[in-house]
Amino acid sequence: MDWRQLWEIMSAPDNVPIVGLIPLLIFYIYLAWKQAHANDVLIEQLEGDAALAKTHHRKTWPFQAGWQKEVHVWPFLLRIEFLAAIIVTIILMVWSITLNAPLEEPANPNLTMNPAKAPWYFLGLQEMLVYFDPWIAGVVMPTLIIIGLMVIPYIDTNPMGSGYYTWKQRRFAISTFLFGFIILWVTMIIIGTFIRGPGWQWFWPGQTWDHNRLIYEVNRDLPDIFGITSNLGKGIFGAIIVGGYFALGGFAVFSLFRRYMPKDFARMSLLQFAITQVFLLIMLALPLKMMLRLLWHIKYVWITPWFNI
Amino acid sequence: MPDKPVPDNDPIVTKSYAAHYMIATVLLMATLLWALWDEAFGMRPWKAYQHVWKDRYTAFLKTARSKSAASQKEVEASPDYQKLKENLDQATQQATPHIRDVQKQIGDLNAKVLAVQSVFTDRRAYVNALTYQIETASSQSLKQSIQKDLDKYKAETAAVEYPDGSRKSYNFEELEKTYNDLKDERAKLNADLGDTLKPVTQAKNAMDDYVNDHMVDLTPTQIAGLEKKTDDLEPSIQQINVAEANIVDRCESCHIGIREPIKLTAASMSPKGAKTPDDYAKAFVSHSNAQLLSVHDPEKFGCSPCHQGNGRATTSIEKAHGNYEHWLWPLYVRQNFEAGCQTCHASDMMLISGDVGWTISRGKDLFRQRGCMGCHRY
Repeated sequence: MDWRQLWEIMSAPDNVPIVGLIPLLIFYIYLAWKQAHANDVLIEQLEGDAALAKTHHRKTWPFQAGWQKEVHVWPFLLRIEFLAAIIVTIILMVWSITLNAPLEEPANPNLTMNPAKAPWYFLGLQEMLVYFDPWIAGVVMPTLIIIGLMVIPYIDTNPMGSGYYTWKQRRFAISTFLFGFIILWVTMIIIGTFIRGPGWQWFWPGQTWDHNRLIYEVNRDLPDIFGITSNLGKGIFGAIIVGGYFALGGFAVFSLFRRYMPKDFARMSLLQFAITQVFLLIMLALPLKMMLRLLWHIKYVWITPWFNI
Repeated sequence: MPDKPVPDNDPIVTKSYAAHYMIATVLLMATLLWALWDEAFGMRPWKAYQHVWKDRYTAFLKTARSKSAASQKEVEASPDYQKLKENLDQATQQATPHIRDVQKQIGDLNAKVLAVQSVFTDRRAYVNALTYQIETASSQSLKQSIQKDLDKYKAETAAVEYPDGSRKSYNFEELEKTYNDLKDERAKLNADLGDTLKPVTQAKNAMDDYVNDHMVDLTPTQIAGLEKKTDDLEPSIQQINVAEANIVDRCESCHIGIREPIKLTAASMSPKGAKTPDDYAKAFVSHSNAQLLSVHDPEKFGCSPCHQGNGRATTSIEKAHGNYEHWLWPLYVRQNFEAGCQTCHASDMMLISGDVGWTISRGKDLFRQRGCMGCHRY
């Protein structure tokens, strides 16, 4: 265990945001979860007691006569938000004074740094370059992420859970978000920061980043494993695999939705459901491809003269 | 349900945040002040150097000036100087009447030139404008029509009122000629004035040169000039930028005395009463070898080609010339400073200039004698 190496990586000014991000994420997920759970208990209670449901106010505490049923945003919410803004400003100012931007020596094209890493917030995208061709990882995927986020309000037909934390009423939305954000975005940033060392090789935390490390990793394409050699065969094979993934995946999403979220399913139009399905399957394809690459060294699934996936 | 007792009044509505706001605001103001301080001084330690430099150098120059004044008096008492002074007085006496005469003539001419000029420039502007219109007119007939206007305008006469009250009228060509003639005349008179002044200037220069040559240090006037320069100094980055060699050296932002024309030692730049020179005093010394510096003009070579170190860095001593991890060419240590000569003089075997160059020359000799170059590049 190379503690010194670990400390050097963790204390680099570049990586401090990510070191801070991990406990903050854990804490706030816990906090949201706790409040959601309390609300879920309350919802159950109110569903069984119609009289209480009429008088009960916003809190999970029992109803008190002196309490107001609703409070105004101004000043009761905004004063807390403004206080939070001041405190965050203080933290950022102290941070920016004490920890300078990690400027290094003048760039030298003959002596590039290894590993050369993107700023921390782009490390997830950089990590994606391991699994996909640049135009997919750098152009198509980010575009799909942005469009996917934009499309959420139009495909979310669930009217529940507005203004309070709840798990039971928004299971699909919350788990999809956690998957996309924690697993796909944050985990990839953490991999890019702490795991990827010289040569963008995989180093477990604490393992020395040895610039002379040699590993034997030969990538293969999926058609090769099945002994398909002709270009036409590879193209057709890949199309069948990728098409099959979307067909089978689509069917699985369809039946799971109908079974576990019949209300949501009933509320959605065909277009809304189709869009949900496409984005969900593309999102799930990313970790699948990562696993294929990391565990079985499979580089491409679908090979064509124009693009490779 | 939480186990805590439920308050009677709604905490969201009744709770006061005054104390929270008070503390947060005080902290915010404190960080703001800290940020401002950091911006002005924390990240710019060279400012402190220049402030201290101003104080110490001014004090030093004051002492130097009184010493210099005493030695100037000595020089001025010598018979050679007295003779030179006599020459100057004589030349001045001889030239003065003629100079006065010429200066008066020039003064009169100036007034005349001004009088013609005010009329001429106005008319010339109109002529130029019409000429431009002719040049850019789209049709031949239009050109001709404007040309006709122009000729008419040029033939018109305009009155010039001279300083003595007389009035005279000129058409455009006459006006132009008068103006040019007056200016020629004035140029001639100025040349005449220069010729008349020549012996006086020569005598003055000879006298000044004598003083400069016979003073050990700078003259009081030169020191007064340095004092004024130091007094006018506004803290700013002192940078040598040689674009073609990619040199950006800001060393003189702290080592501000390195090229001063007067010899500065760490002892002379120490604060009053100090037993040992502090870091500022050590930073303010002159370059140890002025002769070497005169051959290698810093404006052309900068500092880092000879000394190495990170000439761009201004935020800390460590970044500038310590062992800084992001600068691969640290300052040569004192024992090795002659290694810097090798940057350009790799193929020169003898590099001796005064005290400097003995070590590297011996080293080069040794390197060759022992056959090191069989394996090592140099």
